[in-house]
Amino acid sequence: MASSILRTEKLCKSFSNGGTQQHVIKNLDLDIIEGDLTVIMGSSGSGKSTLLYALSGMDKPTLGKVLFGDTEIQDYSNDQLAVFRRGNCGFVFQSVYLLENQTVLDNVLTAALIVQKNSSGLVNKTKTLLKKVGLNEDDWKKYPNQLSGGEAQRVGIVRAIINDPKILFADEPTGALNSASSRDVLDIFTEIHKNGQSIVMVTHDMKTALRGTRVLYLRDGGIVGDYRMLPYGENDKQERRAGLAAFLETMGW
Amino acid sequence: MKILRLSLFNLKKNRKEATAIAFLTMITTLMFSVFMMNMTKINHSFDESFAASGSRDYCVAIKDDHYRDEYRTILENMPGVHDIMEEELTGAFAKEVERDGESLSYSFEFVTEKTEKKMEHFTKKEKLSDSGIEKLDHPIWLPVYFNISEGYKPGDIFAMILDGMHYDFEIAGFYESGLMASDGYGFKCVVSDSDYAVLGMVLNNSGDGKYTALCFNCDERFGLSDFTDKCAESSYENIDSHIYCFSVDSEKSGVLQFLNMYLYFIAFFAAITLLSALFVITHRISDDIAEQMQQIGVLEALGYRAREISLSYVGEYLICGGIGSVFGGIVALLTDPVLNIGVQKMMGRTVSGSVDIVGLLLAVMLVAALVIVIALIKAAKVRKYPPVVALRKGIETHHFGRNILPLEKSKGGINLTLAIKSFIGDIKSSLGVALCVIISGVAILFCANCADFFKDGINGLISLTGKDITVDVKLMNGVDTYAVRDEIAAMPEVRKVLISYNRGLMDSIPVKGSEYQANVQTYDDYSDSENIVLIRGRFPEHDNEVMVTVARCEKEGLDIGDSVILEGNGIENKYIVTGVTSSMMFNGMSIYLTKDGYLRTEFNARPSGLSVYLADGVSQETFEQRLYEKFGKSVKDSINAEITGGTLEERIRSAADRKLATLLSYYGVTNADYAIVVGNQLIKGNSRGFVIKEVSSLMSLAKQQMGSIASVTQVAMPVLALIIAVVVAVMLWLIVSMTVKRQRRSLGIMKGLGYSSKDLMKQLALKTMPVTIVSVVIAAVLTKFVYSWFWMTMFGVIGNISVHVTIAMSAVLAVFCYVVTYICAGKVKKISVTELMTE
Repeated sequence: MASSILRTEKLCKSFSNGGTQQHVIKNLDLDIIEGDLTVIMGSSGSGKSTLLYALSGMDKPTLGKVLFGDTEIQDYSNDQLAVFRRGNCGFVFQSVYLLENQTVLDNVLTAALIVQKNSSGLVNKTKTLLKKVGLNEDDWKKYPNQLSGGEAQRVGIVRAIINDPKILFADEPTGALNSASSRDVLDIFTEIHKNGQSIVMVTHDMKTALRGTRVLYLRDGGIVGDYRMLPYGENDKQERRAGLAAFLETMGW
Repeated sequence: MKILRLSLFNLKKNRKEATAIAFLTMITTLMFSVFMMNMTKINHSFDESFAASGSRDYCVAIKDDHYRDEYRTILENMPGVHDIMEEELTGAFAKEVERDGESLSYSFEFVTEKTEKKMEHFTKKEKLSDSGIEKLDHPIWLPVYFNISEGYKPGDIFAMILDGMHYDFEIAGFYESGLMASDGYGFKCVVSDSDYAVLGMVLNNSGDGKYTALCFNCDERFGLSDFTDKCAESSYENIDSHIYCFSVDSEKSGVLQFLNMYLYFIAFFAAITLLSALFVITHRISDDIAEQMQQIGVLEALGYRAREISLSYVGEYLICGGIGSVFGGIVALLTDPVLNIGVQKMMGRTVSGSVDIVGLLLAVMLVAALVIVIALIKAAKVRKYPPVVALRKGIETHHFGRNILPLEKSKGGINLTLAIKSFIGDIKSSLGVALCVIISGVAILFCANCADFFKDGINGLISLTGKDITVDVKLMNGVDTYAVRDEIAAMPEVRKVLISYNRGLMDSIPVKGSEYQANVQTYDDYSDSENIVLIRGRFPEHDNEVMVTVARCEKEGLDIGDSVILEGNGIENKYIVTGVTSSMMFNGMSIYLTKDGYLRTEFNARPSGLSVYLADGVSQETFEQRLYEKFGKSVKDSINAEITGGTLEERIRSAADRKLATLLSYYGVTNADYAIVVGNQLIKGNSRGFVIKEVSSLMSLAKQQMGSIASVTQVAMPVLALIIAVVVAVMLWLIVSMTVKRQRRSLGIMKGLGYSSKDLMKQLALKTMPVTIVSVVIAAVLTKFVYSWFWMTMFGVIGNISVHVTIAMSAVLAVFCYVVTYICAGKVKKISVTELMTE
């Protein structure tokens, strides 16, 4: 049986809003299984992104525990969390967040060099990965404002996986892309997942969710549904779509 | 109204930055106000005190034995001269005054009350009651300088030592004196008729003695050399060496010299803070416009005109700059009474307590106006962005340039590499930082060097005198100088003894074609001197060679190989300049001859005494004690000695010795014998037992003239350096704050990638280091020039920076900038990754 890579116990996250406390995540217990492509879905304001940030060490929970393997990270200082993230996590954001004043190659290396020493091996690996996601040599020297949305997101993905993270987090990675670019980006995620990468992805798009192996449905700060699927491409697409649609329907999506 | 609302909104949003800018403008205004108010005040105060004294503007004092009545007629016929008044005074140069066991040296001019009332109004200040004055045996009225600057009180004893004899005057009070009331040419003291008569007899050496004073007013600038030339034409006697000219201008510049220096320091520092403030404002407006580009676009789209939007930025700085300026003005106003005390103490004259409101308002308005003008110029940039361009955030964030320092080729740590990349990308704003650090650096390094120079009190200044400060032993007439020299040289307390030929401290010789007389230093062999530094060329070796000072070279265009003609005793002697030295004595206008060279001009000069160099650790007191053990008491001590001794004979001998000492010292007696019959006993003695006439040292004169400069500078320099350091810190804080704000997005992304706050703080601090290091190096080089310019201008000497102090302080400054930037960069801790991503 596959082991858990990330776990929460009684996780709570509240925000102060005009003097009143708004509880976004409530006593949430969750296991993220190694090797899964876990998709978190839910309606707007259900706490999807808040959960993702709490899981990834981007934000601290109000109460409860976040365990990465056996390590509790909820009490880490901000700098400890930064060190934790750089060693264990990769991130792909909806808005990509490339560094505007750096070239494609430098954007990826900026993430790599905080963890690894500069070497020809690292540079070659970066270039290989960029080629793999369809960015050729001419693109490496481009600045973010010279890239299309899809190209930028592909750079974002390479930047997220360059340090071989134990877990890759993606927050609506196709949210700002057109359908063709979305498909390309999702194919890359599928490819990475096939290579054994654990992924946690937040989305409200069914096409994106279809790439997952597990779909968690969030409502009012708690998980109300947990649906498992075979890895993408191992079963019939229609059957897969129908199964997920049925699950989501029961969730009231 | 809507513009004001926008300005207030911006101010509220950036409270800390606005406070920092207000602080910088406050400090700037404070310093400018102090400069403006005091510049006017010290000039007015001098003019007022001079006017209150009733003194004439000029006074030429000619040694009595060289004065001729025709000189007065010549003066009367000089252009613009009127109100001439002729009186007599007695001069005494470099005389010691004992106070609390310490000796300080001053120059004096003595007059009677009757004379003083003719020369001036004799406006009395602090004084004893009339009945108290009547009871005094030896009353003396001193210029208010002694009350204000030296802390003497009416009734105190003023213990002068005049040619070996103690004269204990009692201070009747102080009076406002116009001329002759400063360090430079001495202090005019009013004494009783009987004391004046005694002083006239006592003071008869070299430059000391009676002078005929011609006091007058002159509508034009009085030319002393014209006057002495005419006197020489008329009398066939050159009186250049026997005349002193006191003028309101030289008195004023003497009194205000150091105050002006400190005020110009303050103005210089104010300019630095102003520059920093203006730089920060321009930087910040550019950043604000870049950051608020979309907001500008929205406002323009809503119908706001570019002028209105730019005025909202100006309004922001008008408010914070205005508040800073007004506060600066208020603080200047509040501290004025405290500063008055210091100013009065340095001037030694009564300073008016009134505030120069015009100067204050000018300073406040000048700073506020500059802030507004700079803000207007920078804020006009908004006009460059029509709504569509602004809504698209201009094109400022787009990068198309060459990738300088690609990471794939980087060798060092990632933080350093990213810092350098960021520095290169932002090099334009680095130029402003560089300018501020360079100027601040020069100020700080200058202060550090001055503080180091004055760390041992006046020792630093003494090293620049261009004269060996030795213990000077005057010998009795007829004593074999060479034999005594050999004996003293053999004493273990002594390192070296040289024979001195100069007649006195004020001994000077006219230089043909120069308005500056030459105070002459002579050595048989200049390798014997210890405080005379050769700057270029070589020391004089032959009797036709001379060494001059850099100040004389600059003022008279002299250089090695040129000739100097000295006009001593009615003859002219030509000397070739062989070397150049640096000296701050006598306005840096000394000249240096060999002994034989000196004798060519002053052929009557004879060995006048001995210059004794004490061994390390030996005090003057110890040496004197040993000297008297060996040679017997000096005449000076014998005059003042108590008549002691057990037997009648011993007491009679003591009394006889005292009488002999007085005859030798004051009446030019060279040899005397006595025989006293007491009952059947004959007591005999003679003056041949006296060898030493007097022991003195220039150190006490140096202490009096330089002590206050040294102590004020010692305190003022570190304080000024600290103020500049605070200004640098505030400027760096503002720049880092703005950088963090501008790069918030990038910094947030980097945090998301796993860069810790410490990594980012390190990057921001390292980013400023290339510009800081280069600027500090430039500042160190510039300090060398500024420092030597300062010393040359102020004292006529070459001032060399201390290399190790400059290097150490430069390193401290660079580290200080790094630490301050690192601490200020702590703002990145507040950047929340999640907040950024949920935007």
